[in-house]
Amino acid sequence: MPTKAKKAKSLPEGQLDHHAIDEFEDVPIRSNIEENNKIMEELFKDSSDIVLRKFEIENGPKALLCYVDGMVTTSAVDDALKALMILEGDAFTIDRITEQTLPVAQASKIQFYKELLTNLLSGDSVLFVDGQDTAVCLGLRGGIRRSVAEPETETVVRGPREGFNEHLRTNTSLVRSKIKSPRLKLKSFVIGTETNTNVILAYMAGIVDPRLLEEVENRLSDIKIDGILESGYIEEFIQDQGYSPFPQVQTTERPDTVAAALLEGRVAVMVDGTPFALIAPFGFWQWLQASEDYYERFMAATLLRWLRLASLFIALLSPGLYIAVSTYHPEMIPTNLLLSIAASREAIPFPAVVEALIMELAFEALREAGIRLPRIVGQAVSILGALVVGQAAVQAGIVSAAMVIVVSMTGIASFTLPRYNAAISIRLLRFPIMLLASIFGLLGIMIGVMVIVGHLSKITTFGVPYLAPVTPVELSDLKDVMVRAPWWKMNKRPKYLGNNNVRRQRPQS
Amino acid sequence: MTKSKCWRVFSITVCMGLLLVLTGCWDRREINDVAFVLASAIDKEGDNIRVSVLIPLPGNMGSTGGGGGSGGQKPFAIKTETGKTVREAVSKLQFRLPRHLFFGHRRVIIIGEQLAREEGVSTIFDAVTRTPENRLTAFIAISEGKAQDVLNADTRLERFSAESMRELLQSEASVRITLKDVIGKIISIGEDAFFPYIEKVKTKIKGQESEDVLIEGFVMTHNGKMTGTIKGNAAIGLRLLNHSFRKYDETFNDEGNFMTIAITEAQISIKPVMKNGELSFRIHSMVKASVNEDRNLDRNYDDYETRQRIEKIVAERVVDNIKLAIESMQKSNCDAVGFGLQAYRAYPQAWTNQYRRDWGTIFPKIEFEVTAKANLFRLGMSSKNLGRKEQ
Repeated sequence: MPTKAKKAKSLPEGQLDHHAIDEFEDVPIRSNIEENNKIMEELFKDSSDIVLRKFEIENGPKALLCYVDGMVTTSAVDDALKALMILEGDAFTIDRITEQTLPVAQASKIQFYKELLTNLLSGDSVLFVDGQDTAVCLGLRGGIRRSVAEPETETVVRGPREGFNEHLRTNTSLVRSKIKSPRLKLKSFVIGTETNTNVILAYMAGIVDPRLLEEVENRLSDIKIDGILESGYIEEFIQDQGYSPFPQVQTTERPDTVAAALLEGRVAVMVDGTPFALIAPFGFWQWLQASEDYYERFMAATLLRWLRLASLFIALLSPGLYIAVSTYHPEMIPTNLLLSIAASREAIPFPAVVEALIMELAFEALREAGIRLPRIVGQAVSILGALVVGQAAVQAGIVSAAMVIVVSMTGIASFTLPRYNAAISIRLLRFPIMLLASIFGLLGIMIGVMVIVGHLSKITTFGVPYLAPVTPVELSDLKDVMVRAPWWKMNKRPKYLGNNNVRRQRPQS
Repeated sequence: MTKSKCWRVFSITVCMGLLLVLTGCWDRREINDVAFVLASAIDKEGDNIRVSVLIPLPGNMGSTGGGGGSGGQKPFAIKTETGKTVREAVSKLQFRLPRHLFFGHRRVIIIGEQLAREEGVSTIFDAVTRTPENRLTAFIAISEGKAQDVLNADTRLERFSAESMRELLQSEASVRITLKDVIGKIISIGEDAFFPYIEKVKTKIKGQESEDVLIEGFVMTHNGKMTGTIKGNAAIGLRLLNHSFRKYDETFNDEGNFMTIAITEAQISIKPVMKNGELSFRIHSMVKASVNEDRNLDRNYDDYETRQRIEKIVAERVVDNIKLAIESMQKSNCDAVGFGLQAYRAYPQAWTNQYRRDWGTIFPKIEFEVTAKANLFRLGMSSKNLGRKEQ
């Protein structure tokens, strides 16, 4: 089929509305308005939201205005029509119309159908004028949008409360208002043969490593898919290791997080229609960095980092450790604690590993149900969970109290990780660790941890080692890993992300 | 995915799956299937060795912890069996139990007096140290009479007699002696092991009957065999000589008035002296004392002479205690303090040539010169007796 488009300048064969927009590349806009009208009518047959408004310019040629109902600001369209209808004079060229007549901020000239369709369907209004083989694209976008609200997945105590929404331009403006510099580049891509989704690649020129930028650009333009509905599609296409359980791209709803990442020399990808922007590269140590770390005092932030690191290990290992120690190495538990555990386990009919799996699955199910259910029902779920899992199961002698404690500790620990996609991977890996623990004891846990660490040290995120800057070590970058150094000490950008503009504070003279 | 990659993933999955249906000798053991031995007692019975173990019964402990066995049911059981060796008795015992005996939590080992006297402790050491399950930090003690009876003491204060014995053996009433320490002492030459000597006593108040475990003193051994005991003031002397000193009280009679003085700190120096080819030891003890109670209302502590006199009395008592300890050590032929080791360190040549081989016969005849100095450094909250009328 694309060979048809190669021929250029001729319409695709058969029914026009059975072809993707790409096939209209290089199809020129006709100078005869009736012909254009016919094409448009054929293209948008049975599309009730497309408005084709025919009118005549006073003492002049016929014209046709097209727009998508609901995606334009109607009053602005009215104003444009008013200006056009009373147009006086005799030279009805497109140049005169765009440059002198139209009271519209954004107006551009279009010569081919592909561009026309893309703009029209993104919310622009398109004006054909009889006798002109150029159409005018009027940026009168409007329609209903969600307002800028507090991001729900990344709340902070201290820090900006604004989050991205589904409208790409709102999102870019939020970032632009953080970084008022011409260095901030917002490069546009259109991905998806049917959805034609606008995707923005944001970076700081002169700070970002050009090789990283080129790599991301290549990966983005290599995506060939019919639709992009969320940034998750793009994440899976552009990450380095498709089969790794660990996320290699960070997702965020916060403009300040994106701005901070750009200033460090990372790149961000924003997708129209979703509040979640992608940030790359994303390594292991970013798992522990919350945006609030940089707003709170550095000592508190450091303490929280350590807490999160400990929580990470608790979330990953504690059910496994409980199983291993209680079934293989009871000598490791202090005697009195062991007796308490033994007393609580006395009537339990299941082996520890089955007990742990039951509880973990129940917990995961509760969590999932709590997210999916309408908010009003959510409360009922938490009551059920607390009563059934927490109390009744223990009283009925199905699970032991010790196991409930272990599982709830695990759950709380996994909530402390600020990156949700990283926390999910930890939740996932907990189950193999539990199975290994039940088969090989502590030895199995060691095997599991070694495999995980080996994998972590092998994978990369956009060419950057996943565990950087710890391995390979970059001493000056360690100021933002296990500790968060005070801002006046962090005078350099992370070196592992590139070396071309490292200094972020001017040296004192 | 390529075909070979698919095949690799498939075969690994199958192998992992097969692993689950394999019946190997898993050493996985649920807590419900294990009987944790908290303490064991080893006695001699005829030619055999009787091993008794104390096992907690989790079902009787109350599931929410604490509480203790309600309804008069004890939260523990004692099982016993005999055998030619300790391990034989244990494996015979295992046949009678539905749960696997696990010795990793044994914190107390009690040896019966008869076994200690006739067979010696060394004989059972192999059994309690050979397998890695055993804790070398377990406390070890020798009981007066049958060890099994002590194990069965109903102390009421703790859930298990093992627990109360463990607390007692690491308290100020005793010297912490673990398996590890005993092994160290047994294998070194010029030193003999000593053990806490425990006994079961009864509290006889109506409605409050209970049994307690009392630490009477220490058992002296020579070459691993029990040769005697050391009690009372002599036991205090042994503790002063030993570097593991703990604070204790003593009551003195000063010109007809009783006063109790606590010895809070003690330092000992033991110096081997070689004079004219004769080995002797010079022992000097420095103690710090503080007044706990004084029945003499009129004593004036501001008076330097008075304080000096008290210090002298304390020092004399310390010397007496140490002399008593040495006397009974010599009588039992037990070098519990390691005088031989001190001599070896000071005069290695003479020790190897002269004393090493016959230390057992030489030690009871060695001369000791004991001195002491006391320092009365704390008089309590008031230097004057508050019960005295102001004059």
